[in-house]
Order: sequence, then structure tokens, then C-alpha cells
Amino acid sequence: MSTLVAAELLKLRTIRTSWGFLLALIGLVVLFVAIPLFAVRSVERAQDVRDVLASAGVSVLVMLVFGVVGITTETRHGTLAATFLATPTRWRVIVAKALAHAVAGAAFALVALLAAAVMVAIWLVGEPSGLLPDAGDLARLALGTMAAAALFGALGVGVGAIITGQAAAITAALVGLLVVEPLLATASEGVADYGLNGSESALASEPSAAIGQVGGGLLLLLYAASVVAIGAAVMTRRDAGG
Amino acid sequence: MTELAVEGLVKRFGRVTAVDGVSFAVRSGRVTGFLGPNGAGKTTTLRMILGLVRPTAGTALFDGHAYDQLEEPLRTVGAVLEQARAHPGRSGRDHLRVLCSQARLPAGRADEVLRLVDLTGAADRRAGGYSLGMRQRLGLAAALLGDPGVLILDEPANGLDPQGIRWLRDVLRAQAAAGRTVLVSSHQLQELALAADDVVVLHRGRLVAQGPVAQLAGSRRGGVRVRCEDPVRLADALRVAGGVVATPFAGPDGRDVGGDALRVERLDAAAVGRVARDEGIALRELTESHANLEEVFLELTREAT
Repeated sequence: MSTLVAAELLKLRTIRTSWGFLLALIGLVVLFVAIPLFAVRSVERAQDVRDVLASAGVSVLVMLVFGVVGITTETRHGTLAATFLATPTRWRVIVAKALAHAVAGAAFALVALLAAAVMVAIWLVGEPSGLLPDAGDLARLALGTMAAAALFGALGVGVGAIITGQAAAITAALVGLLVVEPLLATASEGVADYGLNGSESALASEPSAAIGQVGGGLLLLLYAASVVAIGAAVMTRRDAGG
Repeated sequence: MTELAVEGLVKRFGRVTAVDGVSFAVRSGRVTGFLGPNGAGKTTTLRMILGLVRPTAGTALFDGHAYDQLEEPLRTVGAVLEQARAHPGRSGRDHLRVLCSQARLPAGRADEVLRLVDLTGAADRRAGGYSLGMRQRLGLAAALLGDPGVLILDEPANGLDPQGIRWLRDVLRAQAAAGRTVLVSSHQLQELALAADDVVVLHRGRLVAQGPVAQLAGSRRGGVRVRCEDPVRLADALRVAGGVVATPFAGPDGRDVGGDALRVERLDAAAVGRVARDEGIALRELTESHANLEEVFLELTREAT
């Protein structure tokens, strides 16, 4: 499996799309951090600084789309057939792809966190002391954000394995996460607390989350693993090529 | 070397039967042409052989193993498929490096096969900018990566110029000469006629013929070609003797309007010679010809229609 994950990571490194996604992520983080720090100037407390750093959480959305694109691009360009010729046991390919996107997700989120941290550090130079959040809290935020981005990358691969049309898969993933689940959450506290958004908030150690960080992480892992498993099963039964 | 045995392959897409009970064997050390008009079911059959499409029924086994049971597929079978392309944003070399990584082949193998297909100069260019011919060469390079005993190529000559086709034929011959099993599909006969030892002919999803090219062509007489001093009188005499006579430049009445050559069917050369002797017509040429691959192919696919 490690060989296949390495091959999938090599795939990611050798196309510009991956670097495009990383640049887009950095751009979004810079934007989300610059607005409160330098434009609106709404940061006054240590908690506000933490919230600014939490903007790196946008990695989750970027990785969801990146994961979908990572597999649907292969279907679109016909490269999936070449992949299956080299590794005919298809579930192994899908799992390796999910793991590779998880690694990429953690790395992307780390870059996003560093970008946010550099901007905050620059801003802090001219500010009074005492605005720095608790180190333990920052560590939990960083680890949680990286883990969430990793799991959403894998989740995206699973969605893309189930829905092969790229536009349809991206739309389904984003509408499901940003529209359908929040709508359901207004009707059900369970969905709000234990759905994808709820468990992601918990994993990123948001103070408002209903469950703990570990609980949120395990729940999100369960969701991602389930979707990847369904995707692998669907891909195994489907005719490949074209 | 590995051999391929296809047994009773069937593929139905809904109500459409794309491949209907196809069985054939591909022997090592020979180039086997997989022929059929467009839509005959060739690509679907090849994709079933390679485990990309699930057969409705039947098996395709490489020395007793289905493709998805092969421990090291790229070292056993190399395939060039229209459906198995390189990512347009990835360079040719990186495409091959990814496959090497996946199949645990040394990364240096990528450069070796690039040299083999004469693509080293374009190795670092993105595959999306390759011409059709270059993409075919890259496909062949990918197929050769694992130095496999079996090569399966789907329409590899598409997009190649005449020099490229000749190069491809030489590559296929060399691979077969090295003992490999080569199965190559084509809808264009000329490309294959000079390379194939055996042919498998598919039409409308069914197998219509298989065997050595020489045997298939030999089984179908191409008739007798005869040139003489008085072709019109000889043609009449041959018809009386039961022959079907045509001229290469026949007019509306079937008689020669140009040269003096006749083509006679249903009589062999000896019978034609006897008729000419009895009529006292001196012959300039008397040749018994066998049909070429193209004639056999057209006849087979016409019969099956």
C-alpha cells in the first residue's frame, strides 16, 4: 500500500493543478486573515487572534474539492484505466488515492496555518502584548485543522469515486456540506452536533462544538472511511476506461 | 512466454450485445492481428481481456490467470489502449515515472523505454501538447515499461504517419521475434497485412475467422489471372467451360475495355490452360493467385452481414 500511496503522491506533485490548489488556498487564507487584521481591525482579544488563525480551516473546503478533482480528473482524462492496468485491484487504488490526499491535506493545512501565523506575527509587532492565545490551544487548533483537512481530502476522493462527473461531484460535495447539512441542522440538533460540519468544528477544537476534539476526529474519520469504502466498492463494480 | 486464451467472452450493455461468445487463442512468438470493422467489438473485447470491463460471461486467461489475478501485471502484460492515456498536464517522463512507481519498477526504466520509442527529446514536455503519433509512442513506451511477455495494442497505428506505421510494424515484429505474444487490433488492413502472422476477425461482436494469415488467404482462391492474344474469345470459351470471368477494366458487358488480362474464378489454372489450348489461343501469362488479407477480410465481414 505504501508503494501505491507514494505513486499517488508522485501524481499529485507532477501536475500543476495541485500547486494551483495550494496557491488558491494560500490566497484565501491571506484574504481571510488580512480583512480582520488590517481592513476591519476587529481583533482586540486573544480569542480574536485565535479566530483569525482558524481561517486556515478553509483548507477543509479546498481539500474536499481537491480530493474530488484528484479522482474525477483521472476518469475525465482516461488515466484511471492506465492506473488500473498497473494495479488491477481497484479498491487498493482508491484507498491509496484517499491516503495520498489525506497526506496532501495535512500538508496544505500546515502551509495555510503558517501563512496565517506569519501574517498574525507581522500584525502583532505593532500591537500591545497579551493578545497571543494559549500555546496548548494553538497546538490543538493546528493539529485539528490538519487532521480535518486530511480527512476531507480523503472524503473528496470517496465522493469522486462514487460520482464520476467532475462538475456533478464538486457540486454534490459542496451543496451537501454547505447547504443540505446546515438546512437539516436547523431541524435537528443531532445533525448540527454530529454531522460533517459539527464533527469538523469539534476536531478543529472550536469552543462552540458540542463534542470533544477526539470525538469529532473519530466521527469524521468514520464518515470519510465510509464514503471511501462505498467509492471503492462502486469503482470495483463499474466498467473502467473512457 | 505467456500465452492468452479467450473463452466464450460475452458483454451485454443493457439489451445490446457488444461481444457475443468470442473464443480464440494468441500464441507466443507471433503477431496476431485482431481485425474487424469499427464497432465490431474489438475494443470491448480487449478491455475485458485487461480486466477494465467486466464480462457478462466467459474468461480471458494469461497462462491460466485472469488479468486482475496477475501478481505483477505490468511485467506480464503491456497494453496500449485509447482509453488509457496520460494526464495532459503531466510530462511524458513523469507519466512513465508514476507507472514505474506504481508497479515497483526502477525509475530509470522510464528513460529506457522513452529511448526505445524515440521520444526522449519530448520527454519533459506536457503530454497534452503531444501529437497523436507522439501519444501513441508514449502509450507503447508505457506498455514496454515492465518488459512484459504479452503486448496488447488497440489501434496503435492511429495517428501515425507512413514512417511511423513502418516503425510500429518493425517494433511488433521484433517483439514477436523475441518470443513475446503480440495481439494488435486494427480496422485498417494495410497496417497489419505485413506484420501479422495470425488473424482473429470479429464482426458484429462475433468471431468470423481465426488462424494463420497464409492459411486464411490460401483457403480463399483469388482466382486465375490470364493474359492472351484474344481475350474476348477466350473469355467466352471460359464462360462456356463454367468459369466466371472478369477483366480488370471491365465495361458494362463484363468485357475488357482496356488491357488484355482476364480474371477467372471457379476454374483452376490447369482448366484455364486446357480451354486456351482447345481454342488455339496462345497465352502470355497464367497465374493462380490467392486472396490477400484485405480481400479475405472484406469477404468474411460481408458474409457475416
